[in-house]
Amino acid sequence: MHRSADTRGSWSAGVLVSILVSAVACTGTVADRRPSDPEGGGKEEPQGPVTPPAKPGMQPIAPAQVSAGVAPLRRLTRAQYLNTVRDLLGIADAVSPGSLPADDAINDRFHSNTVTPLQAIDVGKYADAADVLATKAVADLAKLVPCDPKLGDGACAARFIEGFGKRAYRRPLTTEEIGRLQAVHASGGDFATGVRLVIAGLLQSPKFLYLAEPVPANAGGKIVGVDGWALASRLSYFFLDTLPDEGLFAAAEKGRLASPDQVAEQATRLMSDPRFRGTLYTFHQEWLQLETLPGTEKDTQAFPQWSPALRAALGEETRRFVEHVFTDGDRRLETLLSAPFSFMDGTLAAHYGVTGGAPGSWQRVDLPKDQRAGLLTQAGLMATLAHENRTSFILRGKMVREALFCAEPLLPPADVPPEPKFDPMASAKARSEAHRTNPACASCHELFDPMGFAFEIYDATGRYRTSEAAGPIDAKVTLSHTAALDGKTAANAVELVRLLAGADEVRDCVARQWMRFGLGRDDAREDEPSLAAAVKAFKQGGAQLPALLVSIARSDAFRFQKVGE
Amino acid sequence: MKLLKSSQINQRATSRRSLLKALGVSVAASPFVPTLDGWAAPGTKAPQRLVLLFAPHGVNPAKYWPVKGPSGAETDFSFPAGDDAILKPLLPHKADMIFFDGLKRDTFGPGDHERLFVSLYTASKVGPNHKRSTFPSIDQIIAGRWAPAKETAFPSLQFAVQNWFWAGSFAREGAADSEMIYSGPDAQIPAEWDAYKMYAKLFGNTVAGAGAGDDAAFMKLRAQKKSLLDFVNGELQSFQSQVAGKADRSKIEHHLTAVREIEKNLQAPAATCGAIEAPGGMIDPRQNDNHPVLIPIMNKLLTAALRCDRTRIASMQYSRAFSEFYFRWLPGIKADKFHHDISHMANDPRIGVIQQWYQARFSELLQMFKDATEFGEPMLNNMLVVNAMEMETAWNHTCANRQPNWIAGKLGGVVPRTGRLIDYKGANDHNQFLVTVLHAFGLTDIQTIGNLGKLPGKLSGVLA
Repeated sequence: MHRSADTRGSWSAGVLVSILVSAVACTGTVADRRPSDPEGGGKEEPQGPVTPPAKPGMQPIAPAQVSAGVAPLRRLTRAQYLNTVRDLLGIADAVSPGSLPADDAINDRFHSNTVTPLQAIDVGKYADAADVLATKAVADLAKLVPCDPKLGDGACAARFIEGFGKRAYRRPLTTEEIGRLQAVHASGGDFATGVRLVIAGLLQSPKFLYLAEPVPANAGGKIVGVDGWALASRLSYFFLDTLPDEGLFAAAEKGRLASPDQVAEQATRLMSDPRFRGTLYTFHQEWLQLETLPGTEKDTQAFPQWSPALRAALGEETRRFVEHVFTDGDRRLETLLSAPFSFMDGTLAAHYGVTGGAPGSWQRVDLPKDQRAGLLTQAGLMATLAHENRTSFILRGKMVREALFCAEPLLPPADVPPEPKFDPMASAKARSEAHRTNPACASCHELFDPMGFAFEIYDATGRYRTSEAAGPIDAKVTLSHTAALDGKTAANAVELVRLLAGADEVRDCVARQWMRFGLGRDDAREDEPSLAAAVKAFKQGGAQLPALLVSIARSDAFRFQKVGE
Repeated sequence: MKLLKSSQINQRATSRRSLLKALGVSVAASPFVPTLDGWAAPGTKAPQRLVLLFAPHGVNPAKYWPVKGPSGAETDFSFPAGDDAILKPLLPHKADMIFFDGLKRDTFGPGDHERLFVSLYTASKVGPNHKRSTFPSIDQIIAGRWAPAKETAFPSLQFAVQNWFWAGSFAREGAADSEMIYSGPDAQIPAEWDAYKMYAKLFGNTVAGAGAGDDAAFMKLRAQKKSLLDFVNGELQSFQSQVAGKADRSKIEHHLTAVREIEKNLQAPAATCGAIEAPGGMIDPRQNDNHPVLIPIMNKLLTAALRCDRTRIASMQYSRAFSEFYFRWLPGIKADKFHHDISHMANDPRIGVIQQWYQARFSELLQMFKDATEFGEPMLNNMLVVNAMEMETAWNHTCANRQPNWIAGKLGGVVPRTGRLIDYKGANDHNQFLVTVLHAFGLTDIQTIGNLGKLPGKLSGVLA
């Protein structure tokens, strides 16, 4: 999957360990450390009057009121690499994700390669992938080059290098770069081999593999505008997870990414691209850590109905539901988190115990309102956050805390006592006994165990249930450690998610999660004004999710960056 | 002790042309393993080597544990008997092995398959929501610090047979329960499962695509690779000036270092140490029934890699920690369930039969290590082969009190007395077992590894 470490992660792990030991901080509100509305939140969105310059590396320093965090150099994730070569070369499936270097993740969730440096083995993998792709690409040379390949000459090669190179580097090439690529072409001996080598070279070049964002020399610590070409890439990798399309190239070329409105216009346009649907699913998979669903195994004796087909259908349900809410539905966060309907085929309907069509035939299905409400109660998520043979209130509660309350990753401390013996058939509340009696456990587990109890109405494969071997399910919870929901009770997960769906703190956290996803990095203190502005727009727009995404794109954090030192 | 440098080996290598001719030899041809002393410089000694082994799903304890003899001596022991007796195939190698009993293992609570597997050679605490290791595996600790590892073309190599196998697809490639070797936190080193690719890596000098005995084509491909690396190097240097901030500049520095490393490797002449066979025929690794076909091929490649001194540290993994193979090729076994599901059926004799089959493959591998003689003695004498199982009792994932481990080989005298069953009676643990392997390779400053198991130091009575 992915490497989790990042500079911030190690900070948070350290802090977490110390607060666990002191048994204090885990009892504080997680949201306290992340004020959702800093600086009053009502400030006008700063409008930096900055025109991206024509040449890279010449960004003016931003006005003093502009605030944005440091944007670490990002290397393409596996998915971004594969999407990009698909759109560059029209080649899909020639390279498997596992053959590329593994991904880092922000807060254990969103894939983004901002930390782990490449080793020789990784560079070798990129070289091998480039070789495979270039060889495949030149099999249809006529489609690729701007001339008859049989008559291919130096001039044709030069035109190919300039055109293809610009798309690969996501900006026009410099004279030096063109020169170096011409040397590569010449080393091939013949025209076709030369083209193959040029493609192979570009695909393993750092300027392809990293999302370069040139900054002026000696600007360390200062805030600068993101250069137009780099901003086009920020937009395309945020919304489509691939290289900029024609529209973005044209906008960058003509300097039409200078104002927040211009950026917002592009963001809105990109959301109607079919590839945006893929991005939506990616966000939700990473946000809820649903990526492990395809490999989730169950004890086949306890759950004989569990099968690869069912697993695939569970993923498909979430994909269709999320797409529906964002595109055809009312686009509201509350619907995403509490809708009493979903999408099913026959396989899935049988699993949910509702009537549905034939296997593979998908339709919208209304679900019993006392059993299901929105994304968090879907069987795929519940099955992913469970063990092979039993539920996991820990995984489920932890997901709610981290994904919806924006708690830092809740990792076990270094000196966790050995897991006490427990009866796997006992109820969740009984199994968690030691978490309450041992203060060292309680200080942290009380954060997420109760949240998890609410989800006990779903078994380890996500089926609704009212009783288990130990007796009737007791899924009642009283909320604590929240900003504004303390003392509220919920009879079970359905009531809980309805509470969460309307809560300001959850809405603010979802905004923060989308910001991290959009920026491809963890948020920093300097990003808080941008987040506040995005939250405000989100709120004013009736908590419509597309409005949130646009307001993130137009924020200072997205259009500016603090230069690293 | 003077060890052979890979550059010296290359100077003595046969020509590229004769290597390529040898590639045409069919699988059945022998001997496929060349002799090291045939081409080693005078006065050199055999190198030491480490191999880690893995085969999934533990054992039926009653059919695994060696039984102490009446004398009470460590050398007096026998294996359980019966059709499903697990260690029976290792009988020919008993005198070269040590079996460990009474080792505790900290598994951070009742284990699931991933947790037990990932922690096996890393001693890393793994939970359901963080499934990868936070620490390097022992082979990588050795590869990083043991100087002789750096004298070969590959500091370490990871071999596997269908370690992503899952319902006939590649779906589990790179999964936590598919890869056991880690270079650092969350950094799996994916094992090579493609015999053809492994062959090209070992003996094709990383230039894929050169074939048909054509030296000119080989030189041309190498020149093209070189030209691409030059280009990447140039682009990295021009990119460096555009990158601000210490952290980002360091990423580019690492990238540059990595490219230079590959460049250096490319400049080495084609490496061989005699006639090595290429794997013959096309064998589909997605087929369940090719499991018994692929294992001997990978075993041979591993033996050749060590024999030709392409690496001194290797691992061999059969299947993965949630194994979905139907053992249809075993006579008299009802293959209505795949390995994982059978493993959960308490005391089912098939558990022993299947693990016995895997131990037989290990036995064949040990035999190859013995048949490969160098300087007049079996290669195994200079090796340490380690087999640890991710669990003891197959059906309930336990190994807390009795971790099933064995080793083979004397590592050139570092493990002086083999042919023993040592019972630590619960006073020692698996972490100490792993530390013992590190100490065997001279890393005696390490007292514990990972974050599972708190007992420090090596096991007594194993090393000289």
